[in-house]
Amino acid sequence: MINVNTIGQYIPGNSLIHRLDPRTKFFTLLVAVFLVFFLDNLVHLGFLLFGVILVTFLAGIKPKMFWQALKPVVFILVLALILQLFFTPGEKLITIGPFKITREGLINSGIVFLRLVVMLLSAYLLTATTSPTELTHGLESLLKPFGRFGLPYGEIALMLTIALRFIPTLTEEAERLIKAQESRGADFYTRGLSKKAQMMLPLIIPLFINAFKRADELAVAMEARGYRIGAPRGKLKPLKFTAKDYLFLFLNLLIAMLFVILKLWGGFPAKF
Amino acid sequence: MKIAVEIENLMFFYPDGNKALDGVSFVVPERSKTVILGPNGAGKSTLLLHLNGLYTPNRGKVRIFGKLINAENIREIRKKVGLVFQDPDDQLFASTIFDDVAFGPQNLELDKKEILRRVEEALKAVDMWDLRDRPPHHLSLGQKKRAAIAGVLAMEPDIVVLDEPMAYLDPRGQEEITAILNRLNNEGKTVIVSTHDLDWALEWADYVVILNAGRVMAEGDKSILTNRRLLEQNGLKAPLLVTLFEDFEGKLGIPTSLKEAKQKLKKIML
Repeated sequence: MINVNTIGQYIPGNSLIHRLDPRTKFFTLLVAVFLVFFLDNLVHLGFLLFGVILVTFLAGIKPKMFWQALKPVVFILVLALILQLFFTPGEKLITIGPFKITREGLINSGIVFLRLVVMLLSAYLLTATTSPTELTHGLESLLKPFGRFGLPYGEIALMLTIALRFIPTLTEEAERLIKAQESRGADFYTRGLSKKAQMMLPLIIPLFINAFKRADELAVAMEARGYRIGAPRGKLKPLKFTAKDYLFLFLNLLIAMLFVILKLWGGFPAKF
Repeated sequence: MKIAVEIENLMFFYPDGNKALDGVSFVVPERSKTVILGPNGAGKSTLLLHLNGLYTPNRGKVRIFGKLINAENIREIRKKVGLVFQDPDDQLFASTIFDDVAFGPQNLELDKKEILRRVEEALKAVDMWDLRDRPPHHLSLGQKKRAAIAGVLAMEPDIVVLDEPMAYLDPRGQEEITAILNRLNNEGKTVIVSTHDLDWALEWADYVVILNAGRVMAEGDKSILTNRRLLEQNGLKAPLLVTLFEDFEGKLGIPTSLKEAKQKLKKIML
């Protein structure tokens, strides 16, 4: 079975975070990303990570689940750490063979590590606690103001919905294709890299052809049910802010402001 | 009677824990025309994927000509058991029919002469030799289906397994496929077909397995298909011939093919 449980997977639940308006969550992600790049102090970033972990806890997401989703990118994370650790010039601390670890390198790699983890975790939180439908509705509603500049926000949202909808279908299909070619003696698992690349052809070509065919059929089926590009459509579940959304947005702004003040004030472990 | 396929207490669970096969046991006689019948979701396709080791059972055994399928003999088994998928688009990928049929023999690392021989033979067996240079995606479904069968025949299997080969085909396409299946069987191959077309099964099969909810409900010659109660209990419909003749069962008996039915009718009318 092909593993689809990676970043981007929705984990159904009924926590406070799950019940927030998707726009609130989008905004929170925006604030988190802004802070990640705005802050450049190990301790400040540590506070930020603590905050995000608190939200993860509130969302009822176990560390194990996050770790599973994180696995595929661990390599990049480690690479970034090593590069920072060994190749930052500055005050020498330890020497291992030709490499030396500097004080600045240590701090920099810490900052890079915290930044990546905060970003990954907050993006993960958004998709893990928001169903694909809500996600697209939220995006549609946030993009709506740009509609007057000609942005086809409705179509963008619909595209996203359809793309998300077809991920499991395509994985299932890929599996069936693998089986069909395997029963003709194809071997997808045990050969060298170039052989492996060759074996991808009998897999990718039918996958693409079927996907295009399906897209074509879907388009016709949608038109048959009265869909027209650019035409206004009725809303089924209008999004609505509730008290908890306002509270959450308020907390967001408050925390962001606190961090900004903290940085501009420059105090509180300023040495890092 | 020699046995081509022997399945013993086969259990299979999907990764989400759902039971697909719940202790399936049956045999397929060598050189038989076997149909596996069952409603949608009975486990037919999952079962077929076990026949050449594409799925490994959670519990139970699958034997091909007495040999247990295991990791060492899987290549051998896939040469012996050819599996044709329901949707030919799952299989066809090359830019011409010829290249596509050659894919299997190439995987067997045969020499060029042998590959060409097999491709020609396979394409002629399904009456597609004249269309060998056509790209598969511009063919009709019936032609694609035949091309997919050729792709499996080029492996020269002793057992040919087809998952719902009649699905979506027009009457002529169905006739052509039936003719191919009969020819294969006459050449001495064991042919296993999954379907829920009872009329076709009654006409074609000589061995019947009824599958429902992951279990074998009946197994034997095609007189099984005259048992209305059994069929209906398992989400199937009695064949037309059975429905027609069961009211006169005492006088005429129930025929198990169109030919037999005609003879019976002639006898009382003439």
